[in-house]
Order: sequence, then structure tokens, then C-alpha cells
Amino acid sequence: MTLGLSLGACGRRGADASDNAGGASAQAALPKAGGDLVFAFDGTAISQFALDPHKSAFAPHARVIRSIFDSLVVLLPDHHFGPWLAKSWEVAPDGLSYTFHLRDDVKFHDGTRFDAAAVKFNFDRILEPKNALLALPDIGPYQSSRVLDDFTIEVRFSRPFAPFLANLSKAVLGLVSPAAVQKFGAAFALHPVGTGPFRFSSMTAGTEIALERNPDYRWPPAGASHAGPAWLEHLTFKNVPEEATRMAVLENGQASVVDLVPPQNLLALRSSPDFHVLEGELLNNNYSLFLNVAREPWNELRLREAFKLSLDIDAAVKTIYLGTAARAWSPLSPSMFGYDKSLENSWQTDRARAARLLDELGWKTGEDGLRRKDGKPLSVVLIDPQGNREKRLDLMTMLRRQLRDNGIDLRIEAVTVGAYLEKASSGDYDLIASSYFAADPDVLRRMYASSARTLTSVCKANDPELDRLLKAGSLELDSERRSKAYGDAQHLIVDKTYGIPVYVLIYSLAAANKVHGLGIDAQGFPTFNDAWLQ
Amino acid sequence: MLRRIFERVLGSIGVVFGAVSLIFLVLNWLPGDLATLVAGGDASAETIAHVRAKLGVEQSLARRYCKYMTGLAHGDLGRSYTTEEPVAERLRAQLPATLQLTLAASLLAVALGVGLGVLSALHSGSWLDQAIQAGSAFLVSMPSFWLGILLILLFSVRLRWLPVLGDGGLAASVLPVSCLGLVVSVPLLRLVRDSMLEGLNEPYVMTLRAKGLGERRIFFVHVLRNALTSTVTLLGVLIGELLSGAVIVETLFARQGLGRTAVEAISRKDIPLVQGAILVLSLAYVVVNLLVDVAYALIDPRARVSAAKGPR
Repeated sequence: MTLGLSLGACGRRGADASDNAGGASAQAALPKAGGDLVFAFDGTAISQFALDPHKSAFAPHARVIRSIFDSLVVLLPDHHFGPWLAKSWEVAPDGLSYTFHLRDDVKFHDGTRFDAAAVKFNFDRILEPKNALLALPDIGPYQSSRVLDDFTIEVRFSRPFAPFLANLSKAVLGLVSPAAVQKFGAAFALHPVGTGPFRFSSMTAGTEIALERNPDYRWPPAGASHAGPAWLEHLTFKNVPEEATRMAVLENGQASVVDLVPPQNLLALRSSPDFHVLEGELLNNNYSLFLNVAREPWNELRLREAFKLSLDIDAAVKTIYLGTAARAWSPLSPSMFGYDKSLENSWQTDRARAARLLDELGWKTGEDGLRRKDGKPLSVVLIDPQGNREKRLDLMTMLRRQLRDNGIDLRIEAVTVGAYLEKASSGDYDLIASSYFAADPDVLRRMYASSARTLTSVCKANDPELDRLLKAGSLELDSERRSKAYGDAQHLIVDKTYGIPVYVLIYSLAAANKVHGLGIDAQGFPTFNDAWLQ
Repeated sequence: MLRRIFERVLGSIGVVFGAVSLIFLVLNWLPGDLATLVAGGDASAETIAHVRAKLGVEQSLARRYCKYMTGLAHGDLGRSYTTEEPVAERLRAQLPATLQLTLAASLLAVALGVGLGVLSALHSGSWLDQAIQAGSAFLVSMPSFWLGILLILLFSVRLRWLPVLGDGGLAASVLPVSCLGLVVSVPLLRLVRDSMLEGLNEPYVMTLRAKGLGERRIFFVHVLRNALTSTVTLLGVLIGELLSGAVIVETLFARQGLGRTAVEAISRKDIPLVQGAILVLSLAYVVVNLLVDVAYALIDPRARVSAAKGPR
């Protein structure tokens, strides 16, 4: 297997992510170098950014990191991988080693050379437990790397690791400058140095990250529309966590691009003559509901089914997102490799059947309309540390009303991150709802397999069949067999109600028409290398 | 007078010490294992163990408390658990923005509160008084984030007079300062108006009138001065409101600030950072209230007299 290793191509794109369109008249214009772009993004109410790719699992960070750091390979929309800092690569037939042939003309922003030794440094840095880096699970059974020559490296695994290339393409495995890591130590996150199209220039605590063009850049990923340095002189990320404020600064011109556009504004901006909109699916485990299957009463499959059948997810998603987000049927987002389309419309809301199931299980409706068994009300406690991010609590409030109609009492408990981690790890909750970014269906193993259980795993199932399928998926290099294993796993998760998929996350950008060439990559992250201003 | 201030300063040091100690205990009682929080829920047991050792959270609470307090006495606020930066640096980066916002907002609040309060009392019952009263009722019943959004939509999107986001210029501070200042001015306005109206009915005003003093002089020299004593006291209380309101205004206007930093640090259980922020905020609170006491003594001769005679 060489360049462009196939992983099958059975997915579809939810939205056209490579849309370069500005206004219709601008289509013909040629890109122009220069200019400063202000991007008002939802960085959440965080007061300090940490831009160490290996240390961040936080999507807003990854959106900045993507412009500063490059990866070895790039994930293309058709599930193939294209060259980036690696020109080509071979996978050993036993799947235990990968040999990468690197570009020999790449420099880090600090002037040091990007080479095989630098790649080895990156992997070894992640592997070291003392460094406590969040990227560790992404290299899986990584064992060691061997520098074959200046620009060739062999990476060895203790067992086959099918998600490797997909993980390599993620921002979290972006390549950092060894010299800068040694120089800054823990403060590297405040002085990020990579090889990307933009280099870090300054950061104002919590409000602004200023980047400038990397004049040496000529190594964009496959699929980029030009090979030279970025057109933009400066790229400024302004952290504007409040959505109404983001829309205001787009309209008053203080920012020319904003992200995570609220549904009502998305509808208006799509038809606006002054702005254009870009949408791309965020590859991930869709936002799903996870009942605590390790605890009574939700360890009972029929009760979980009654819960699920009481929900009208279609209605809730349509009402809250006004048609801008699709309802999810599988735990995997539709553009992910291995997505099983046969799950679409595989079950329908059935309040009557849910009520029958509840009656059979002994949950009888009381005078207040709530169901009880042995005097205990049928209540579900949702623990939530994120607040109304992406209107998720609005959505839960709608589901709450639907459940109430069937006598189930959903309670939303807002907790701090600390309390969330504690409750999630001790199992003191009934329901968790979350999504999880990933470039590969192996995310299912990390979320659902008992062998990958961590303190905060959202699914606490111990299902040998599911474990077997997910392990097979992570070992299998043949894309057809791999896809089959994940198809079965998705069906199992939905049938056993280990997770109830709710909606597909869409990443949206809105921009003034003077901005051209904006992109959203195959994983749903914004790219600015090809962006230019008219 | 000096002695009184000295006593107050001593007491204030106690208050700050108490606040920092209390928050240390409360934070440690907050749910969530520190090492897990820092390493992330996905981390392996081995990683978490390394983080635990690095943070030194295995030591007893008493020991960590002593260590923190010793550090504090030497001016060392420790390092943030989440970003590993010195806390002092984080706070230094955030403090100027908060100071600028809250100082400007309190000046605006005092100017509006006293100015409109006096105007309202002077023309009590007139259309002007009624308009001011209605306006303040409107403001007080509006949450600050909503007021902020309305201000943004009007002045920044529709009229395009003012920017929303900070760009280094003063113009960017106008909206957030107005938003915070307007909200805080309402209780001041009401208090000034009420105490002036009350003052006008006091027997001493009648005496002054009988002495033939002009209405203007009675109003501005005597009655206003009396009204101000309670206003100044209220201002000391309102500093708390300013600081908590700052959190919302900072988020809405995408500004940096201590309030946002503290809230984020609390949810991440970044104990050294929270402690540092609380230290600065409680210092601010104490200093403002100290100033209020001094101002009080300057305005109200009785306070000076009773202070000279001993504690009240």
C-alpha cells in the first residue's frame, strides 16, 4: 500500500465544505496577497488559550492550532489520505510498521529544520506519561520510531492500529518544533511554534490571538488551491463567546468572518447579499444521550427502549435548529468512514409502545402524571457541565417535555467540570449527553468498549459482542471488513440503546463578501491558507 | 481619625486573610479530583498519577495550606494548575482591563445616580421626575446582558457609532462601561432622590429657611450633603455588584478581565488561580470600603467626633 491508502469511499458530505464562493461576481477575481483578516470565533468563556496541539482536546483551540501546525497526512473528503508533510508512506503487510518519506524543504517557524528526528521527537514526547499529554490515546499501541535517514522515519506498533492515519491527520497530532519545546518547556502552549501557514505573533489573555503569514510556507496539504504562502498578511482570532455579539461584529464590520452562527442568523445570512455562509460537517460521535446502563433502573434494556420511544427527536431538532442541523441516526456522523446508512429511519417515536413497556415493567402512572414503582418516581438526572452550548439545553428542555408526557421526569443538573468528572467517574447520574470529535470510527471503541474505559467514559456497557466488534475495527486494515465491523457495532449501539444519537454537528462560518477562499477541511475545521481579501 | 483608619486597616488584613483561607477550604471541598481535572477525563491512570505527583495534591490539606500561605507571605501566588503559568502573571494580564471597566463604570454610576437623583428630587412630581423614575424602573428590571445586547444593536450595528470589540481605543470601552454603569446607577439614583426628599422635610431645613437661607444653598449645601452620607455607604456595597456584573459584561463584550478568569478557574478547580483572583478581588473590596469610611468621616462631622471619642 502506498500513497493514497484507500479506506473505502462509501460516505457522503453533509454540506459542501470546499465551497470557495464569495459573491457571484467575485468568482472570476484572482487571489490577491495582503490584508488583515479578523475572525471572531466562539472560544468559549476561557480566559487563557493553550495552543499546544498535543495538550488540547478542545475544539476551539484546535481551530486556532490548525493554522499554526501542519500534520503528516491530510484526510480527504473521500476518506482517502493525501500527502502533507509526508510525501508518501508505506504500511508493512502485518500492519505493525509505517514508513514515512518526508518533505525535505520544510522549516519550523523558529527556523529549525523539519526532519525525521523532529517527527520522532513528537511521538516520543506524546508517549512519555510524565508529559501527561492528551494526544496519547491517538497514537494507540505506538512502540517506537526509527530514523532511517534525514527524511525517512519508521513508526512501529505493538499491534495493528487501523485508525493511525486518520489520527495523524487531526490537529491533536500536529507537529511541534522540538527546539521550541525544549526552549519554552511547559510554556510552549503560550509560544506555539509549528510549520503551518501562519505563525504565532501574540496573544492577549483570553480575548485575542494574533497570527502572521509564514513567508516560507510552500507545503500545504493535498487539495489546497495554491502552493505558496498564505495570501493574508495577518490573521487575528478574536474570542467572542456570546453569539449575539459575534453576529453584531460581523454586521458592523469589526470582524469579516465569524463561526458557529446561530440557526436563526444562519437562515438570514444565507439569503443576504452582503454575506456568505460556509457549512461543513464536524466529524465526530454525534451528540448523543447516554443512559447509565451500569445502574438501576437503566440497566434494564426495555426501560431504555421506553425512554427512547418516548422521544420525538425529529421534532426537537427541527424546532431548536430550524432545519440547520440534521437529526442523527447513528453514533457516527454521516461523513465518517464506516457510517451505516441503513440506520436512517430505523426506528420511530412510539409513545403507546413506550407506555406499554413502562406498564409491564411496573412503572405505574400516579396522580401527578409521573410514573412510580415501589413509591419511587421515574426520574432521570442529566448532569451537564457545558451550559447551553449549541442550544443543547434548549434541546434537552424540549425532550424533557416529551418524556414528561409519558410520565418520565427528566431533571437537568448543571454542574462544574469538577463535579461532572466526579459524578461521571463514580457513576452517580442517570444521563449524560455529549459529542466527541474524531476523524475515525475508532472513536466508538474509545467511547463504548469496556477495554478502553476511562474515568469519564460516557457509556458503561460491558457487552462482549460490542467489545469484539470494536477491537476488530481497530485492528482490521482491510477497509471492507473494517467497515462491516463498524456497521454491526453501530446497529448494536442503537438497538441496545447504549447511546441515542440526537443531531449531527455542523460547523458554520459566515463571512463578508470581500473574503474569498475560506475553507472547512474534511474534519470540519476552518482553513485560512487559501483565504484572501478583495 | 488616623487611629480609626489604622484599626480599619488591621481589620481589613484580617478580612483578606479570612477570605483567602476560606476559599482555600471551599475549593478543596468542591467535587472533582484535581489530578483528573488537570489531566482530563480520558487520561490513563498512569498519567493521572504523574499529574498528582507534580501538583503535590497528595500532601495533606493542612500542609498545602501552610505551603500556600508561606508562599503568599513571600509574594508568591503559585502557578496555575491548568496552564502552569505563574498566577501573578495571569492576574497582571487581566487586572488592568477590570480596573478600567469598574472604575469608569462607577464614575458613570455616581455621576448619573447623584446627578439625576438631585434633578429628580428638585423637580419632584414633575414630568422630568416621572421620566427619570420610569427610566430607572426600566433599567433596573433589565438584566445587564440584555441591556448590553440592546446597546450593541443600537449603537454598534444600527448607528455604527461605537465598536463592540476592544481595539485598544477608548471608544471600545464606551458600551461596556455604559452597560455596567447604567445598571449600578439605578440604586444610587433612587437613594439620592429619596434621602433628599426626606431631608427637605426635616426640622433643620425649616430652621434654615427661618434663618433666611436661600433655597439653593439649603438644597445643595445642607440637604445634599446629608443625602451623600448614605449614598457613599451604598457605593461601598455596590462595588460587589460592579465586580459580579463585570463577569457578564466581560463575556458579552469579549473583554478580558478578572471576573471571567475567576469563574473559569472555579469551574476547572484551578485552585491557585482562584485564590489569586479572590485575593485581588477581596483586596479591592476592602480598599473601597476603607475609602468609603474615610469619605464618610469627611462628609459627616458626627463620624469624626464619635471616632475621636472611641469606637462606635
